[in-house]
Amino acid sequence: MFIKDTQNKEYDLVIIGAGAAGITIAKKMAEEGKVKTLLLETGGFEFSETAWNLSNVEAEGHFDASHFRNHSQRIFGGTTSVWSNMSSMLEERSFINKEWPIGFDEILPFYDEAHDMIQLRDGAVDHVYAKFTERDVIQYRPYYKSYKRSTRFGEEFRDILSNSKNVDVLLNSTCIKVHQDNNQISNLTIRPTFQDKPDFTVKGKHYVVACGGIGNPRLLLQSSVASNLPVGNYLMEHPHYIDAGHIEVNIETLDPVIYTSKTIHAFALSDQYCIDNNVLNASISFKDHVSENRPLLGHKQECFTSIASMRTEMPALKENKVALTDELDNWGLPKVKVTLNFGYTDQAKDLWKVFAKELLVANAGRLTEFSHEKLYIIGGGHLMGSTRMGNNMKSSVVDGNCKVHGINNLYIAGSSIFSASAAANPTYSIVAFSLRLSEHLQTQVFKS
Amino acid sequence: MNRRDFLKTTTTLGLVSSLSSVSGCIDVFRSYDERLKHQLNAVFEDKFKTLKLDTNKEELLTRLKNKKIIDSEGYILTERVQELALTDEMQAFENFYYTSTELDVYALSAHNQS
Repeated sequence: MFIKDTQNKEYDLVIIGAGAAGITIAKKMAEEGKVKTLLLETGGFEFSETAWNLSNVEAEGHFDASHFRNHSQRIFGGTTSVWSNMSSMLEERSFINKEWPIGFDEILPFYDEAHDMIQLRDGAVDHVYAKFTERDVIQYRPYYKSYKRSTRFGEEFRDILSNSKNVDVLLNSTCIKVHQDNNQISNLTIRPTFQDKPDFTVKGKHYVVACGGIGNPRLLLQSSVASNLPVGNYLMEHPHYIDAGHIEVNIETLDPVIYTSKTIHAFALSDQYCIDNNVLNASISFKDHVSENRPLLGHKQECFTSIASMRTEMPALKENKVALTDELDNWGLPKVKVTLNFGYTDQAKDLWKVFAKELLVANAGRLTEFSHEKLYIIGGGHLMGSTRMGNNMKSSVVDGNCKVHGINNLYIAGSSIFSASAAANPTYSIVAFSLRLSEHLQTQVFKS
Repeated sequence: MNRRDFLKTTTTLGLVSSLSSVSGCIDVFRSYDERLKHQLNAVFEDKFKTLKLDTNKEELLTRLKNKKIIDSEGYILTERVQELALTDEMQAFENFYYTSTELDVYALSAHNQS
């Protein structure tokens, strides 16, 4: 239920942040009905500039500060209140390559339920990609969307949380400090976001930080928690090369693999090609609105003619990071600076040529040259990797169960745990990983 | 059956029927030159005219025959164009990427217009 104050109640589980990750875990706890849970959110049901200002950062590199603010919403539902709903699974390759400390089979089963939560169209689980050529270089790998315009978590799951007997939701309340006592989190300091009321304390046995790709490291850094770990480092995005060229796609060749037209059509490199050539993945999307007979491999063939946009995977680089500055904000908290540089246009250009060649070889279509001189490069708002998963404490923050290394009762949920980003929009995987964490908490941590 | 499949089926049926009744008969009596010209006309686009500038019609014909793109009956073997796509150099023309062989075909189609 939604509450006005916690009345000093002690919870089994406290979740900080009511976005895709936090709401997913709270929903699972509500369905299970036993674990006394508190879900905290800075914002309320309506958009508020005051709350949103708490996402302000300084920025250096490829983006200005508004980019990070725009993709760190402070409202019940988090950034799902503005997302475009494009969904695609992570690629198995990065798990095979041991970039993740877990196997792909450990996350794959959770995509089914994530699919239902996001209300994705059929195919997002069992038609993830399709081969249209004998050669294992490029694949048809679309992005799925929901039945609706977009699934807003704050609207979709409000009722189940409102009716829950074991899950409390406290809005308009900002966690400003996580207190660490040796290898335990002891409690949280919470500040009312809007009212000029004193800070108060929230206590739980276990905690999940689910404040987003910038918010998660921000809270840990401001709290000096896990300061022996690379918190904030390895931030990733997806560089989007908008209208990087034009494409003609042979309808006859693609027709057998286009499972439904209700997707964002895209080609991506195959896992095997990326492994064999030691390259990161990329994806080229196109539309199917216009078709013409185009000359292709010596005769006219019916083709979709479309602009083509490319998104590429980014490596996890230590220098791309979220860090504190020496200045304080209005609340007396250290300001945050985000440094993020793409630096992958040359690779994108090379991979574009691989797509161009393979489309011709497969009689699947034709690309223009990569229009790199007038490129319009944006990010997807996919802020990932800043508290990444791994086994090594020098290069990761959480273990395979999303638990912070060295702290017994602190977990992290959301895209900040991603060890590798693939060329896939993250929310579908955020939900899948949050479902996996929920299962871990229910079956391992709270089993008694 | 959805609308697209329906249209595809009816179009195919129509094509098969017209080919067997008219075009098929005409093709039997076409000479090598007529058959090749007909195929080159079908693939020609205005933008290919600039390809004439750097190419010679006889050289193109010889090259395409040697590559077994044009057969002894004057047919353009498009499967062969695709087969060569793997090893062909990829070239940019008017901003789009082509295989070198298909550019030869399109250059020949431009010569064929004069």
